[in-house]
Amino acid sequence: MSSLRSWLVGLGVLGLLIAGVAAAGGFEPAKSAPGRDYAPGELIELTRWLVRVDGCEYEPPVEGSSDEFGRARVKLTITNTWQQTQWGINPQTMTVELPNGETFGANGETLTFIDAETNGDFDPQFTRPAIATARLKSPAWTSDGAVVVRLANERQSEGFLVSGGWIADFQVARIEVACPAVSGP
Amino acid sequence: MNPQLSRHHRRKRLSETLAVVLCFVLIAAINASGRNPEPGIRWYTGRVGQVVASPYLEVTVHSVTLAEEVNYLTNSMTTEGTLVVIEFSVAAKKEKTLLSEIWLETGTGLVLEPRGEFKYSAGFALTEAGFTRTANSVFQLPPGALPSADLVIHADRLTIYTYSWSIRIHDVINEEAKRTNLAVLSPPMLAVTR
Repeated sequence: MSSLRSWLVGLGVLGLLIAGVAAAGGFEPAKSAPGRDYAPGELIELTRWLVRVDGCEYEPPVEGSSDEFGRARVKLTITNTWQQTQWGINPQTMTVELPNGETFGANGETLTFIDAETNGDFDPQFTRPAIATARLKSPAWTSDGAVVVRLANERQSEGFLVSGGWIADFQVARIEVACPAVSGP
Repeated sequence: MNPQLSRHHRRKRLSETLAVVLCFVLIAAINASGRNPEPGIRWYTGRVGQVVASPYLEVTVHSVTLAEEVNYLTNSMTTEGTLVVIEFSVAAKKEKTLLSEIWLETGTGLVLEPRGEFKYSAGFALTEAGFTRTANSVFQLPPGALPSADLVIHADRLTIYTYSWSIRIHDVINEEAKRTNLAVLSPPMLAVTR
């Protein structure tokens, strides 16, 4: 009976400990720090990238296109500072919040990422123009809107059984950038 | 309390604690072996011009060209660094093989993947047994002195297996590499292995 009691007390203490960490925000590091505010064009240093958010434009839907509500294109200049070729910025570390309330990237809808001029990936030590595209799921904003881009750092997982993968760490940057509509052809 | 019963109880508690400690030691051991970046890989190595044979593949690097610009059909790419064009052939020996990973490892620690602009010129994705495919992979090196580099090919046999194997071609950037301003890629070729 005393053995059972000691186990229950032990489990209770463990539960309290986990609840305490959770209450302190320990399980969601990316949200626990708001990061610094950066202006468009300002250099942001991430674990594997140097990033500049240059601007944003909204493309209204084109007749016959599958994008019913158009798309927002965030323009960036990025340098791969890691030693490996990368396909783009990890979507778990980048969030784009649109003026119509939609969120893309981490904890949101899919954010696609491409080199603005080629079909290739991003080789180490090269600075390239890039575009992150958010395909709207609901009607776009009507007045002049601003998009909020949030960037988190990354770190390599050092899990007990699984290690090596890149995971989101603390949010380090918040950039607010105007996103006007592009006039048609 | 009966002293004999108490001794028995203590011994039981000790063995339980030991069992828990042993579990943690086992987990740590698995974790330590899991940190090996290349567990269970069997390597087959060679140099440019040599046939490098693994049990399922034969790889031959025919030529290496260093260029500032590469053209293939309507695709073109220029760089402020150096484009490394590697023409090589792959013969699938026993079963169809998916070349899932091809990369260039430099002596300066870079790991480069083939340029996607020319992925249709590579054509190495899936090679049926009994066939030899010859094509190109293009890699982009940053500006500066040319480093030493190895071509690494990791193949997936599309079946369940307990170990994997890779091919490494040493020193593909050497004095025999051709240097040119413009390299024009040939279309990939598929032929029955002789």
